[in-house]
Amino acid sequence: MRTERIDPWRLRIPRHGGMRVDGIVYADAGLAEDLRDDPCLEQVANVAHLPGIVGASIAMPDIHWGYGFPIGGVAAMDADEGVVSPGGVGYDINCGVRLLRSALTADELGPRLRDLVAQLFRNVPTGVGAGRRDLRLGRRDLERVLARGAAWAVARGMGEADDLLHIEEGGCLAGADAAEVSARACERGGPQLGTLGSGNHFCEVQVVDEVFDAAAAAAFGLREGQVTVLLHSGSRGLGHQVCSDFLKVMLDASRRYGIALPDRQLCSAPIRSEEGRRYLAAMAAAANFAFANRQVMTHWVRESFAAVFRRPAARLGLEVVYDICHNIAKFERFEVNGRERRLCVHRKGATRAYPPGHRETPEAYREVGQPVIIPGDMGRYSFVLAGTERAFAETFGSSCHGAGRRLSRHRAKAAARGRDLVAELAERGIVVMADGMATVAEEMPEAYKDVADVVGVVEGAGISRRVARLRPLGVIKG
Amino acid sequence: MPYHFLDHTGDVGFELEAGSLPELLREAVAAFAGTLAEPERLGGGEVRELEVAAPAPDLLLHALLEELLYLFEREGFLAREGEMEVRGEEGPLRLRARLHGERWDPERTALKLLVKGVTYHRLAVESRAGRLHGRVVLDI
Repeated sequence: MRTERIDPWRLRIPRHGGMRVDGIVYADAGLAEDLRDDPCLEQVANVAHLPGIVGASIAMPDIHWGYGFPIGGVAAMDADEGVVSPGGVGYDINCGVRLLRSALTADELGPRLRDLVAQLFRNVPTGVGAGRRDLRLGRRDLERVLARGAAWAVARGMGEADDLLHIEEGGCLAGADAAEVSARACERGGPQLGTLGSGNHFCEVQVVDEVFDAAAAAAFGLREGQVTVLLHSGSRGLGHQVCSDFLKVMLDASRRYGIALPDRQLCSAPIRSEEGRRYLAAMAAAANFAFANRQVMTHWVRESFAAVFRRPAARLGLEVVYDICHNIAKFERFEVNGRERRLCVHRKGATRAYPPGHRETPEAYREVGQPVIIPGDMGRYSFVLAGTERAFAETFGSSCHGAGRRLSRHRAKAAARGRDLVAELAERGIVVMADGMATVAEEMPEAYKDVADVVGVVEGAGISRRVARLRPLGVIKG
Repeated sequence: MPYHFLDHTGDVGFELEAGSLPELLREAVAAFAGTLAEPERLGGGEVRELEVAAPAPDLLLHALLEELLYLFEREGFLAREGEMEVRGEEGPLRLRARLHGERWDPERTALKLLVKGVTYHRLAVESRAGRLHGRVVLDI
């Protein structure tokens, strides 16, 4: 794939063939070297073929080979003339991360770390078939979850009203319609509410080990030495099935509406069509399931801390810093060529990064910008960033979402052969508990790019700025 | 082993080779089991039957894999092999499958990974030199 360097932080894939716009990839020379032979650049170009795409087909520096869209892709479609693509959201609808701060310091946690990780591992279900007997949903309950999102869990006593103020979209995406979620999706996902899942999903106990922007960190309630918790999960089987169901609908719709597809996984329908409307309603319902999922797990994280420290969770200061989606399509407004337009922004492995002053940024953070939470790998660090005006102008208010994989799972397992990764991480002071060692091998730190390199690019390009770095102390995985 | 895994950065996939479509679909059952678990550790004492239809061989392969995923998520049933009957010389292809496997037992068989969905990315069933070649990428 031919690319041109625009500046130290960006590559352009010039428009060619059926592309309607250029591709823009955020990558410095080092990250670009990793991409040279990767099919993900072709995927950036493929997305540029979709009708109604505005500006450019954008990729963040954590880009890697996905299916259809690249992971790390951002595409904004005109709300009237564009298409919506389930492949541009992915199977794990509203996969996202939630950061909790605490009143504890790492020194206070120290002797109880192993107990805490073990308690989290008992309380937060991980892996296959996991679920808690004390949370069983009937069909009516599930419909309420799909309609109300995180607020459903708060109303059931699993959280505080204040939590909802610190979630993207307030923890409930508008336009959800449970009737568009198939019985099969409910059957797959219903028993999985409040479960972490497997793969790259995790619950991590961390310490703030460096603050880069004191004012923003203070606004986010973060300070050096403080214990935080990061949750990474999504809509589980319910979202996966919604995506599968609507890919079939969109394959037919693409034929009917004459949408040329360079990859069938990009199948789409006009946003204003019946198929587009139905998908967006089902997707919003699945997104709400994911918000509720992270809210329920937050409750169990609080209970775990309370049990280990023998104090009510409220006295441990476990509060939501922010909860953001990184697999979603949402209607948002941006100025394009001097005119405000309503766009359907697909973020597939990308995070919203709104600037200071934006009305959708929680009031407490409005002077510094929206928190952008970027998980790294379980051996190094994660970052908290803040959104910027430049992101709003250049990337439809988007930033990266993580480190991005460097090794396939197969190659990661080969690299892990003969090693005791849990012991290696323990030597670095990190307690890991997982359902299976295969996941630990696949998710080993070397399998990922150094997230500091990824964050360096988004900060260099001005689409986010660093606020704090978080170092892992304990991790549970499926 | 007539199937082999693809080296995909973010997800997993496999390629299949067989002399006929039913044989290719049988291979797909084995490849799916091999993606999730160690197939030799799976028993075959339980049977499930299913029927799917699709307009083309690649979509029939996709439909079968989606059903295998659903059976696993719904009841933990993991098929290790199957007998396949494909009909539909004219019109859509119809598959009747009789699957042999067992409910996954975490005490006996470690699970290698969880599958979220069966993608259409690079999905193919093609005929080359008198053999059928299939390719699938799974989201994990």
